[in-house]
Amino acid sequence: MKDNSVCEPKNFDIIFASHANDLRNYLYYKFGNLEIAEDIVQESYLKLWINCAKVSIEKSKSYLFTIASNLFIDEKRHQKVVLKFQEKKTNSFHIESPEFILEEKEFLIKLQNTLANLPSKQREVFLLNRIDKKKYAEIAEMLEISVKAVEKRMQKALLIIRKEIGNI
Amino acid sequence: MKKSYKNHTESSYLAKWLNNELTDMQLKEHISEADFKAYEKIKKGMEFFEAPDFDAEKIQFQLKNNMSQKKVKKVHFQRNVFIVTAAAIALLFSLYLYTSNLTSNFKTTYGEKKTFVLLDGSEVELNAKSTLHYKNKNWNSKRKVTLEGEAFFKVNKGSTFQVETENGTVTVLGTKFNINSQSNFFSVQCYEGKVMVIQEKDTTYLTKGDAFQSNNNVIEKWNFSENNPSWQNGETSFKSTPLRVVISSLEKQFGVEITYKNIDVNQLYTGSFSNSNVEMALKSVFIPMQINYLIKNKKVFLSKK
Repeated sequence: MKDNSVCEPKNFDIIFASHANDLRNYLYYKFGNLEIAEDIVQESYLKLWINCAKVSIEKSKSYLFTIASNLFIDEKRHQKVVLKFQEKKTNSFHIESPEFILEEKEFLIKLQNTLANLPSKQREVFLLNRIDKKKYAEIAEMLEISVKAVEKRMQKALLIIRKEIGNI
Repeated sequence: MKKSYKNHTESSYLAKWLNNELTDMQLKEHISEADFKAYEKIKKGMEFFEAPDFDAEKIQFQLKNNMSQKKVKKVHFQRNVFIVTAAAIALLFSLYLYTSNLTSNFKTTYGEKKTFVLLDGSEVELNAKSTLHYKNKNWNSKRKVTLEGEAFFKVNKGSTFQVETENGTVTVLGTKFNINSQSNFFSVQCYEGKVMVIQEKDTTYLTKGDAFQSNNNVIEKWNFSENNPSWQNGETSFKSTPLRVVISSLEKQFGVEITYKNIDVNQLYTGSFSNSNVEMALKSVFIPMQINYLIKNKKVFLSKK
């Protein structure tokens, strides 16, 4: 067996460690269901394992993302997405009066609802960039679209959020 | 208006600003001060969100489990090299054909309850007078069983797992659930994970604590808090279930034959009976329903009060 084969357990573990979290988050952002996102991560890696001889290490990432998207289409689970996010404890946001903090909280809840209602194309890109800190080029590679398309989706996401949130 | 919007999306100035390719000043050339404030606030607000925790170990552990099952297949192929005679190949091949086309059957009779393990380690507990069968062929890639009657499933994670009944199909990835399929009556309860119920054109998703019931195509859904179906603990319970289904359950559980006259068997029953004593069971069903019963040599006669 070649050293750089995906069938080599050590290499397979590395591929798992490098992409599993990204893949899970991508699926979660796309469809909003954590449990199923994680099931699909497993299924995708299992498919990669079965086809390990046919896929090179370089191609394994895009292979995983393609398989995962297709699996989700098979599942027909395009329900209304409900996203939940933990609020970070550290906050460099503002140290202000209680009323102000309440207002901020209301804003965050509104923002969260708006994110949940974003079309999934815009949401997956926007959250990968804003939460996972993925560069536009990385997102383009993951989803197999152009950087320009990523920028368009980011732009549209912001325009929609702005419109939904109204004047603050 | 539409045109300027289009221009905006084409230039993607907001995307560029988020990516630090445009400065605040440059952005302000495109938009009003109020808009700028709003976008700034959205950008800062996003810093408060994070993805849910990722338990890599848990997922990797389950994955390895599934992988080891797949690996078995591979070893077989490599062994081909060592097969010496053509006769051996032919023999193995015919044996393979024979075993892969085999159908596994499981059956329970009146009052019987049986637990067994499927090829992938998933567990099935069959309630009284029920059958379940599946083909051994392609089990690894397609987990599909056919059920008549009632069963509780504890499905290991892996490829999709499908239960076919005459009333509909239930599809899952890995979970615990109960199915009761009788003529024109179909009920599914999900105890863990998520299941998909397909009935003709309609698809319903159930998560933990969701119950689904279809009675002559009238669909009802509710929530429950039990961790196991009651029949596993020697009790059979029903919620708004037609009397004909309750009667057939009594027959299956106690091996009795129930006949009736002038009784509306489509009226709904909510309640339970103990699987250990036929007298007690008949009492707990028919007294609240205001029905007289008479039992003689494994035969029960029902009549109106």
